Amino acid sequence: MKVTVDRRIYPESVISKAVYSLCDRYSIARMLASEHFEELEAPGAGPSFEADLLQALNDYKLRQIIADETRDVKTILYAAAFGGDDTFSADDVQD
Amino acid sequence: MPRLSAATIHSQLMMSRTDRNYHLLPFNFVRLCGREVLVNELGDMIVAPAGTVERIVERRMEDDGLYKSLMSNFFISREAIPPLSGLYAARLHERKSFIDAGPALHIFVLTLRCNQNCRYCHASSRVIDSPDCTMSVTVLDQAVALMMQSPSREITMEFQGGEPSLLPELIRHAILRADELNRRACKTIHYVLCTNCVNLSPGLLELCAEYGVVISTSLDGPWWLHNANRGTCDSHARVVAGIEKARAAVGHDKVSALMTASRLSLDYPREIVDEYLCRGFNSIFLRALNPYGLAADNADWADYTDRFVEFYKQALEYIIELNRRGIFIVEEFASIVLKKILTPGGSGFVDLQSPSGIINSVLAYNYDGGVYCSDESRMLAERGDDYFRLGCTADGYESIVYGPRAKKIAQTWAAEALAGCSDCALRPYCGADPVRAYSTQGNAYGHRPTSLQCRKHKAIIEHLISLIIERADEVLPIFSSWTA
Repeated sequence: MKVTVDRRIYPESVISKAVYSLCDRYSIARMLASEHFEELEAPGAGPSFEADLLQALNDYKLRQIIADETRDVKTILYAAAFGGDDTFSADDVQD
Repeated sequence: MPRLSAATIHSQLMMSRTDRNYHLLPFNFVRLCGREVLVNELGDMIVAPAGTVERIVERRMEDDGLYKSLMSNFFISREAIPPLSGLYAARLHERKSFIDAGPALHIFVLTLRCNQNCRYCHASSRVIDSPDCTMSVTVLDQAVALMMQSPSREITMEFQGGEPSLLPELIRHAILRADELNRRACKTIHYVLCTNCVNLSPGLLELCAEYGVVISTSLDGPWWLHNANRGTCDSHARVVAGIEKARAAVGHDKVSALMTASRLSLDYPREIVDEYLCRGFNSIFLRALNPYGLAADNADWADYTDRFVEFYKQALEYIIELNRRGIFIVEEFASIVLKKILTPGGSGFVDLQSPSGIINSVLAYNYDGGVYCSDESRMLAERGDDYFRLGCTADGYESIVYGPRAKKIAQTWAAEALAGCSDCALRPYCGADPVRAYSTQGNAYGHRPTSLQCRKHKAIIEHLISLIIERADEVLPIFSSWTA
C-alpha cells in the first residue's frame, strides 16, 4: 500500500511524527517523489493503512499548529512557573 | 431591499456568533469514545465533540458554553498572555513541585537474603544463608548521612531486600542513626518496612510501633494463588498471620499490602479483590510484573501486557461495582491517575512523574554501597548492568545527585522532551521511565510506539477517561471519593 503526501500540506515534521506513531503497526518506507511530494509505502499493509495514516497526519498537523502558535506563551508560562519571572508582557509573544 | 435566502441568513447569523478573536494556549488532544479529549499543560481536561480542535485552530468557535469553558480553563485566551497567567504559573509549579524538593524516598536494600522463593521475584533475592549480600554498618551509616543531606523536608526511609526483617538489628541501627542526625536536621521522617511478614519478631514490631513504621507487605490473592506465586504451600497462612500480628503491634492502618499479577493471577481479578476485602484492606494496588530480577525471564511480555490490561479493567469494574454497593475500596493506581485528572495537584507517585522520579525523588542504597537512581536500577545492576549507578555511599551528595552519570540520565527523564511523549495528550497524567526503557528496549530514551509500558499506561489512562465520559454519573462520585 502506497500513499502520496503533499509536503506543502503536511510538513516534514508532521509526516515524521505520524510515521513514528504508526510504526508499531506498519513498517513504513519514505521516499521523496519530487520537490513537494513524498511517497509513504507500507508493504503488506491493508486498506486501513491509508485511513490510519491520514488520521495521524491530520491530528499531528493540528498539534503542530497549536505547538507553533503557543511556543512563546508556553515558554513564558514555564519561565514564570519555574524561573520566578513574572515580568513578561504581551510584547514577548509573537503573533 | 434585497431578499436574503435562508442559507445566507443562517450563514450571517453563524458568522456573528463565531469568535475569531482569541489566542491559543498550549494543549493537546486524543480521540476517545467518538469525542475529542482536550488536555492542557495543567492536566485540565475538556471532552468535546469530534471536530472541535479543528474549529478551535481555525478560529471557528461559536460563542457558546464550550467556548466559555475553553476560555475559563486555559485552552484559549482573549489576550496573548492570559490575564490569570500568574495563577497558571502557580498551578504549573504546584504540579511539578517535587522538582524543587529533592529526593524524598530513600530505599535501603539491606540484604538480598530472603526466606521465600517467589517465582517472579523482582528483587534478585538470594537464599537465606547467602554470604556477602548484606549491608555493613559502615555503608549503612554513610547511606543515612547521604539521605539526611537531601534538601527534602519530608523524607521516607524505606527498608527493602531481599527480606529486611531478617536483619532487625540493622533496621534498628538505621532508624536510631537517622533519628540522631535528625535532631539537627529537623526533617519529618517516615519509615516503611517492606517485608513478606513471614518472620516479624516481637522486637522488630516493638521498634516499628515506637517509630510509627509503616509495614508494607505482599499479598497476591487467595491462598492457592499466593502460594503458587511464592512456590510454597504455607506462605499465605504465614503472611496473613504476619499481617494480623503487625496490625496488633503497629495499628490496622499502618499495614498495607501490594499484589503482583503473575500470569496465573490474570484469570482471577474478582478473587484477588475479594481476598483484599476479606483481609480487612480498603485499598488494592493492581500491579503488573516488572521486567526485573527473575521476572525478566518471563517469555512474551506483549501477551502478558495485553492480558494484564484486560485483568485490570475487569478488576476495576468489580471494584466500581463494590463501591456502588456501599463497600469502600480504592484501586490505588487509578486513584493516582485520577488525582492528576480530577484535582489541580500532582500525585507524589514517583513512577508517574516528569521529570522522572529517579534521582529527583528517589535514591536507592544497595547493600554493597552502590547508590542507584531507584530500586529498579539496582535490580538491573544485579544482572550485571551498572548504567544507573550514581556512585557509592562514600561519595559526596553533590557528586551523586549532580554528577556526570546523573547528568547523562537527565537527558532522558523528561517526557516533555521525548519523542512520542511530547506529543501525547496523556502526558500530564503519565511520566517518563528511562530505567524501564533501558531495561526493556536497550536504551534510556526508549521507543514509545513499541514500549509495552507506554501501551499499558495509555490503555489504563484512556480506560479511566472513557469511564468518565460514558458513565460520569455512576463513576465520578466514586472516583472523587478516591481522590479526596
